[in-house]
Amino acid sequence: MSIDINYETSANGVTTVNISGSMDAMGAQAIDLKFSAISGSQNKLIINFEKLDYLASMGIRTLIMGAKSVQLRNGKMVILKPNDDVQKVLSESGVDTLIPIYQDLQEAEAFVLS
Amino acid sequence: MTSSITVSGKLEKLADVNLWLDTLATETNISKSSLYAMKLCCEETYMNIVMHSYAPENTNLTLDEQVVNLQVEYKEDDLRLIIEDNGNPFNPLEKSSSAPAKSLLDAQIGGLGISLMRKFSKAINYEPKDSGNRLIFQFETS
Repeated sequence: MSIDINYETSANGVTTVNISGSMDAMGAQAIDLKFSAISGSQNKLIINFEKLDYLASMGIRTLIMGAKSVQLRNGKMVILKPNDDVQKVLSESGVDTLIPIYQDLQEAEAFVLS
Repeated sequence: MTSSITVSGKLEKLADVNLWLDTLATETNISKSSLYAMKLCCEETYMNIVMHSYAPENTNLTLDEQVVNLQVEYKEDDLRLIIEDNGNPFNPLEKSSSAPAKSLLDAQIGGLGISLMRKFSKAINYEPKDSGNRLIFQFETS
């Protein structure tokens, strides 16, 4: 299973990053450069996991590094709509206490714009 | 049902391992969440082997000897994944799980694999081999 990443920034300045497929060790490696470029330049980030099937610790590493970079610039980053299995990985690893997780797009937008 | 695969201990071979697990799941009635748990434990173990046991500075083994044997045993109410390597003795269960970070800036990169393995499996057992290591995971079947 492979991974795909794309992003768009809307008029309100919110950048939505869609990551789909499998964020395993190879998937994380494949998107690391692009994800760090996005998280290093955008301050209002929604990471859309609606089509993400799988996340393991190397993917968490990618997420945490990005979130650190956003926070250092006083930006905000949230995760949107992880599936049940991915949600379990995020909560068991404690990521949910570091990066807010939303199931609702409007709420996620309101948070990054606040 | 028992199925096994042997791959060389290289990162890119994880794709073959995942494909093997996906195929097994479609041939049996292993639940989606059990498959996820099995893939996660498999990946975290596999990464430890590739990055530590078979790291060039940690091993005198030839490339041909740096293999990982994986086996799934599935009975009605018992699902096991057995992973063996030929590397230096390493028992991941002796490593304590790191406490969750309190803030992003304190968050450590890495070290999460072992606590995830514990959370996603029913039981983990470690057995040293004459040369290498064997980890046995048990999972829920439904």
